[in-house]
Amino acid sequence: MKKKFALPAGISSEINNTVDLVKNNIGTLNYKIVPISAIEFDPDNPRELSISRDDLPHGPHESDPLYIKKLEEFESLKQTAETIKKYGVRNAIEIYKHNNNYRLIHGERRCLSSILAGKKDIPAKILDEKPSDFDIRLLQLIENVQREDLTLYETLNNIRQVIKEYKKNIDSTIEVDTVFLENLINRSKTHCINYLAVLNAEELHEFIKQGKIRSLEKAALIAKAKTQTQKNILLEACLDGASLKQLKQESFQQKKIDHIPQTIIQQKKKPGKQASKINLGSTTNKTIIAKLIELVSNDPLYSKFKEQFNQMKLDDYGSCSSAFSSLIKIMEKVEIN
Amino acid sequence: MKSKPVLGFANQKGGVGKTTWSKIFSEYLAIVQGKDTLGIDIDSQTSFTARFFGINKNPITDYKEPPLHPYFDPNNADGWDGKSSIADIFFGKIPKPYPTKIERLDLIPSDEGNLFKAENVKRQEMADKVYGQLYNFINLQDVQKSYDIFVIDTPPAKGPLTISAFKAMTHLVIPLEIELQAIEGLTGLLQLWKQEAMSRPTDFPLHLVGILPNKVHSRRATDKDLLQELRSDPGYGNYIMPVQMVDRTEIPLCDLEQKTIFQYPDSNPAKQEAMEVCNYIYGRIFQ
Repeated sequence: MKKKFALPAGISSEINNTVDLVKNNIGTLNYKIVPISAIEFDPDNPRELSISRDDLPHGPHESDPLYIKKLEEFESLKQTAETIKKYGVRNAIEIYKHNNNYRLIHGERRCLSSILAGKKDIPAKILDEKPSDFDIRLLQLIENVQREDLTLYETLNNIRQVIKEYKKNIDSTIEVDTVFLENLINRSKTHCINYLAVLNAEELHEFIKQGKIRSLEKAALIAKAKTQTQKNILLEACLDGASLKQLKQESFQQKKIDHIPQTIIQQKKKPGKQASKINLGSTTNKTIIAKLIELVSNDPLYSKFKEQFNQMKLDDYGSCSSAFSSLIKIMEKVEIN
Repeated sequence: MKSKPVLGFANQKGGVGKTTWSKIFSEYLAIVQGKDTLGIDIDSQTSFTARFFGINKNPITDYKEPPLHPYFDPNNADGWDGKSSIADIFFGKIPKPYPTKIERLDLIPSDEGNLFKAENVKRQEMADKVYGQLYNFINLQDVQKSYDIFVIDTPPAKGPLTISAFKAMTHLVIPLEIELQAIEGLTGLLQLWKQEAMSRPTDFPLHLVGILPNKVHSRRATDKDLLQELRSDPGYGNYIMPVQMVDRTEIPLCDLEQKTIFQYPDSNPAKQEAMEVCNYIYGRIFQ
């Protein structure tokens, strides 16, 4: 048979992968350095930022009715500006072409901080067309959710709005679960589980709004407690200033209590011959036998067996079992049914 | 105004036919299609330049330089040394195209020494000083008005000059020899295409016209089998051009004798193949 020459495995698939990637992603990496002066801010951005470009040169004026809020924002922008001076803008803003200029989708704080840092340009991802109103709103909300400098209350509000917009515009019947939220806001599974738990724990919302609970993890621990009593204990501890570690310990203790085997509480009646003796079970924990011996030997009834107890060796499972048998034998002598 | 087509021949491997096809296709555009064409040689090896103007070495630096511009008047020089090259765009100057012996075909020559300098700009300055300059030059109003199409010969590398060429291109042809090493090297160049194509706005796309099988040994079983395998791939097969150029004597002869393949009689198989390839590329650009 005539020999047939072929390409080694891998080459074709590599070429194919590249060709496919390009076909499906034309224009998705359109990043450029753009003059900030050519970027208009979106007046409908749902973020409640009061400060504007006009406030930047001298800071907000005292006569401004929003002075206090603007001053807070101005200070925060100045901090970001310092970082931008040192490292530049690390994440590109997103804009689309609007008449002869660009309009911002998200990145208002980065723009304002860049102006404060004395920058004239900013890296931007440019979309060719104006996204639909819903897409813009969703992108802005999602971007806001991903920001690190928002309070827990603001982030939760943003997530609530993202879900609301999604239900209103795309699918009103969607079940809001962890997977849905992960895909929508692009945060980790753990984060999404926590957000959902806190969103559903309405009794915590007022504390979060007042800033009494600021940590998502703490709020989620409380929200995930099984009973109202457990929630109350955790909430009280949190409001008293317990650290996350302390709250976790408390929650862990609660779970341990929850997980005590039900057989102790409820002994189901088994069919067949009734038990005539007690099976004391087994364990891999050698310290349990030591503890039992210690407890029993401290009882005045057992003082005369003190020496026997002291001779029991607890260095391996075999000797632990022997010690336990001896303990039971001694106790059977003392305890009368 | 929609900018004019800018076709680049690129492959990071040397000797695959970038210069040969830059020359043949530029000549085809001017001679066969009557298009005002500007060839651009951005390869510091200066081969595309040498095809039209021979090799001009600077006796002191030993670098290959452009020849004296035919319109240079030493009595009215105004500080100009009479030489112009594509390297000018990296140093804030506008190059002056050289007319070739072929009507409607001008060429901006390469300049070995100055292109080296441009390539050695610090990395952080690269984006400002090198990457966008060829695009800026080609899109100058005067340049756009003077030509119907631009043909760029690129260096056999993925360096800053090639990137600069990619950023200016609207169409890309990848000449390829049908041999394993060359096909393996192809994936590297496709990465560059991927990066550029994905970075473009949708109203300024970079079209991959195709991969051009070049110097094909039509009787060699490896060439036949590999080419067939490439063309029949369901994913990228349509990017392998349905036309090809067989390894023929006329091509190096044209270079040696400084003539064009289009001077051969129509019955010449090399000319016929060159016409087929050029017609195919032309159709893809102006369809």
